[in-house]
Amino acid sequence: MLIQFFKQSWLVMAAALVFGLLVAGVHGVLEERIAYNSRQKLEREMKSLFGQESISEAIRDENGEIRYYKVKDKTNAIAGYAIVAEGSGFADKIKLLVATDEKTEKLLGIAVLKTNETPGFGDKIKKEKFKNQFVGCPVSEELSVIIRGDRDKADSEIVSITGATISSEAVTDIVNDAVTKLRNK
Amino acid sequence: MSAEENIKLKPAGAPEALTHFVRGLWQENAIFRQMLGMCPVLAVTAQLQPALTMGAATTFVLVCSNVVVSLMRNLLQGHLRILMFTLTIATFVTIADLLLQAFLPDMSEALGAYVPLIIVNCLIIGRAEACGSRKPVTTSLCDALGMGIGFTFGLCVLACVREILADGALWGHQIMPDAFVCWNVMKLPAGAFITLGILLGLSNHFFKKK
Repeated sequence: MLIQFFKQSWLVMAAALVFGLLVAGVHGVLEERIAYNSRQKLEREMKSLFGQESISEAIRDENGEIRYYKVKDKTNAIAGYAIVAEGSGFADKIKLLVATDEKTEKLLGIAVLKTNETPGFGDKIKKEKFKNQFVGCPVSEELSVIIRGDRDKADSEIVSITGATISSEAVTDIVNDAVTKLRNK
Repeated sequence: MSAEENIKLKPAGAPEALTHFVRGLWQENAIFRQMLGMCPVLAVTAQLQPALTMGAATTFVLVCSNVVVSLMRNLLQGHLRILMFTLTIATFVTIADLLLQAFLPDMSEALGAYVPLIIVNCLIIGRAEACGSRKPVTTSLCDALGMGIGFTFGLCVLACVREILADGALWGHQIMPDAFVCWNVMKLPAGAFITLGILLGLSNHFFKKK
């Protein structure tokens, strides 16, 4: 019985072992590079929000998870704080990097790290025209979404994207949550 | 064993391998003739760059799995063969996914879940069953290469049409005049179905055997 069992399945077991080792080997070789790529991406977005010479430092909680980033400018003064925030969009989760000034009173801007919104509509949240509305917004009160308005004015009203109200509201909600988290850090 | 040695050992192997290679390019083209692998065809052809990356990744998995299946074809147990195919394919898909993450992070992000989904691409398991598990290594290798290139070609044709109409661009560079109004529908799934339908109709109209 047992011999019969091994006769039938030895190839599956051997292959599973060999393939497992192969995948583990490739993962081991590439792991560092993959982590480096995602760090680079975050760093790029961080520098686009805080300026090329800024230095960010991750603040971790007791479990070693990153809670937020403290960003210093070239004179070593605190330029502000940034946090990676995630929330539900229209199609999938949206992941943003939200930056505020050192007193958490004003937004310095947002960057989109991950989105899967509808092409041509919701994915316009990546466009400067939409993102730049958040630059300089006062966050003493919660941001709200309006349908028509002036995008160039830095106030707590965010003008939604035509045809993508849900994505616009999702981004605004994520920013509001992120600001609350940064304020209570 | 290199391809050259193999040809010397089996003089009949070369023409067979060649026919298999050529067959995959058009006569049995995965997309236009066999209608296999429709998920990536519809999902990642909005732009040329991700489409080509998907084609290359699929070809890589197809070649590796077909060769490995062909190497162990004499050891396969009839009722366990599908399990072995899936195991082999999943391994190489994971490797392709890791390679993309490491060397083409932007593309890996653009393709998202569709890279792991290569595992369920019927084209690959279809070739393992139809060719890999029956033919020697050289034939399997050429067969996989032909099928893979044919598949990539199909993806790229669709992507060219859709990117030009949806963005007025090709490979990210604008090629249409500024006055061109972009057809947003071409970026959406509906545009993928429309393009695929029209291309299939055209290829049947012009190339169908009488």
